[in-house]
Amino acid sequence: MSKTAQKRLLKELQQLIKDSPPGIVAGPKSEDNIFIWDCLIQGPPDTPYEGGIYNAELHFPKDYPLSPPKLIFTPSILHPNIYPNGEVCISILHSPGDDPNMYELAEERWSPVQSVEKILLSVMSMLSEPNIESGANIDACILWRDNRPEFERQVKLTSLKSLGF
Amino acid sequence: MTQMKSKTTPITSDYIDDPNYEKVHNPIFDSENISSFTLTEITDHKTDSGVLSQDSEFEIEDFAYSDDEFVYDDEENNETYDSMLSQPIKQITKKEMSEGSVPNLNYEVLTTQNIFKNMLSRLDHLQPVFNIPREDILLLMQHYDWNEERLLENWTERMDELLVEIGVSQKTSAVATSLEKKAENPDISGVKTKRGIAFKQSFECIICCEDKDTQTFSLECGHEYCIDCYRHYIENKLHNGNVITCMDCSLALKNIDIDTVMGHDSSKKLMASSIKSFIQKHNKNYKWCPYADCKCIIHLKDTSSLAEYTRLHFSPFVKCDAEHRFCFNCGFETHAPADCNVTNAWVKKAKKESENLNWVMSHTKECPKCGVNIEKDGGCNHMKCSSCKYEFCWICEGDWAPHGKSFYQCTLYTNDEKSKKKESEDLSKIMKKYTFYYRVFNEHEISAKLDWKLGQTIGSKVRALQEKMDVSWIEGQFLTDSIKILNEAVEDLSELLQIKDPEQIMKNKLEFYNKSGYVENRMYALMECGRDLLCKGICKPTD
Repeated sequence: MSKTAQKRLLKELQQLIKDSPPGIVAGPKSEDNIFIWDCLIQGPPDTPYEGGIYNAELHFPKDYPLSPPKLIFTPSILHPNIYPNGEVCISILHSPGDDPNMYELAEERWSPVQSVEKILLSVMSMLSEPNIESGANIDACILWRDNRPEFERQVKLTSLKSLGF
Repeated sequence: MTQMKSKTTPITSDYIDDPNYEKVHNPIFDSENISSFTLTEITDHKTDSGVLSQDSEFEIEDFAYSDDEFVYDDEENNETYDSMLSQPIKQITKKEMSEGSVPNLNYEVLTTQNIFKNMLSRLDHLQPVFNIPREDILLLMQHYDWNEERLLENWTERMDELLVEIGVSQKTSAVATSLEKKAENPDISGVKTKRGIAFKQSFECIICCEDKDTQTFSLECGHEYCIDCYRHYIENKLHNGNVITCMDCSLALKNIDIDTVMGHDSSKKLMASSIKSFIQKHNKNYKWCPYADCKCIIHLKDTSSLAEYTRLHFSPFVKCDAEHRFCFNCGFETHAPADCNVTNAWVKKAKKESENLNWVMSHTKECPKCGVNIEKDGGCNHMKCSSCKYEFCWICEGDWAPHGKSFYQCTLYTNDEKSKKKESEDLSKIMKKYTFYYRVFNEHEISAKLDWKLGQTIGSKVRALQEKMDVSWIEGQFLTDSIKILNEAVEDLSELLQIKDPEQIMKNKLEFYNKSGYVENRMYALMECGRDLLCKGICKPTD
């Protein structure tokens, strides 16, 4: 199974190098291990995240693409759908069986036809449109809902930090 | 009868508190001797295979709840030793039932296959309502966790949406209700795709990125992947019990598709897991048999009577097809006369305490004077209790003063009766009580096991006697009959012993004496007969 995973990941990498979507850079962290990737995600324009460049790690399971990878922001950023430890919680990273409430539609879930590119694009759209209803970071949710200026201020601070200011 | 007494005592203390209890019991104990023990012991054993710590009381309650619709009740044709033993209990059952203290439990024993079959038969009823193929209804049912009502409700409200949502049909501009239409619907790319396996040369699967000649599979949606990827995908999903869809859209794979891809009937597995999740969701009415590797499911249709059981401190015991008895309420093995709460408390305590107790017992000794537990973590055998300052010898637990220089004497072997007397006089009361009952409980569990073995041996011996030892059938039958009658008598006797009401006890006193006398005589007669058989050389003892 892990042979399939390697092959598939290599293919996806080639695809990404050849034609990567704007604002996204991704690739294996080291040459020895193709199952951990480093990604750089540009904050989408017209959002508090604009101007920031965020570092995230993708951890692929051995049975990829049957199971979805994990995406972890390092360091974590303030966002309603990102856990304080940096783990991203969006529907595309969940298999259909995981959600007992059937809150998320099956089409939006992980399936073997999804790809790293699609995940990272979803993350970009998540940055511009947080989903408050299934929040991962409750404090961020409350701040986003009740005190948007403060939320934006804090996000700006972290993005400045991420750029080394 | 020794069993009867000791077994009930640990659980219901009101027997002990009852002044009549001892009165009633003493006669038996006086007449009891060791040789009679073996014969009476058999009576406590019924058909149970794995259940430990059973006694006759358990049986009575147990059977009181069983119903006539019970399947096994008809299966009495083979007069085995086991069924012979269970007969007397059934008579008691009827008596007990007529008193009608607790409502009967109406339950059925099922397996996942049974439940699935039931579902299929319900499906037949639903077929006219839906007017779509059975396979499709099955998908709908599976999606709705076999909840017909919710499905029907949603079906009448928005059947077309539902078909798309669950993946029976594709999203199309034209609303498709009939199957033919659906099959004709072109997919998004405009090419008509057939559902099923195809063989493609140099097919590039986007899942595994292999470029090879391979079989592929696709649904009407045209999302085509190589068969290996599909197999892995399905294999991964089988245990979920959810409807499996195409990897790229919500079109569902029917059971027949799954079987085609996998090459064998894997859909059975999927159905089984779906049924399992159904049971999980309806765990008020359905209970798995708690015994290891037992696949039986008990279905109780009407749970309203359970409250009544709890109120009367009874427990709803059920029995699965593999003869495992357990309590429907708490899932423990039969635990009469204790109710579920008492049992739970006991099990918890036993679990928690036994670990502590084991450690305390193996690592510490009690101070002979104040009873505090002392752990010796080094040094010589001259101990000084830190709480009462008593000085004693670790080896013999006696006072240190007489030891002087000659303390080595107590390392010599002596009959330790003395130290036993000294021991445990000042034990903390609760601990003492607990350990006592724990030991009693354990001992009885062991004796129950042994008795069951004995019962089996006797059964096989009787049979062997008939077959090999040239004892005529009538004589052999006489022995079985005698044991059977004795069993019945003992059952009656134990029933008398369960009377709690003091007035009733007085009323039944005579009956009790008669019965116990009868049992005793009968037992001696039987033993004599056995002795004769041996003495006259009709039977030879074997190992």
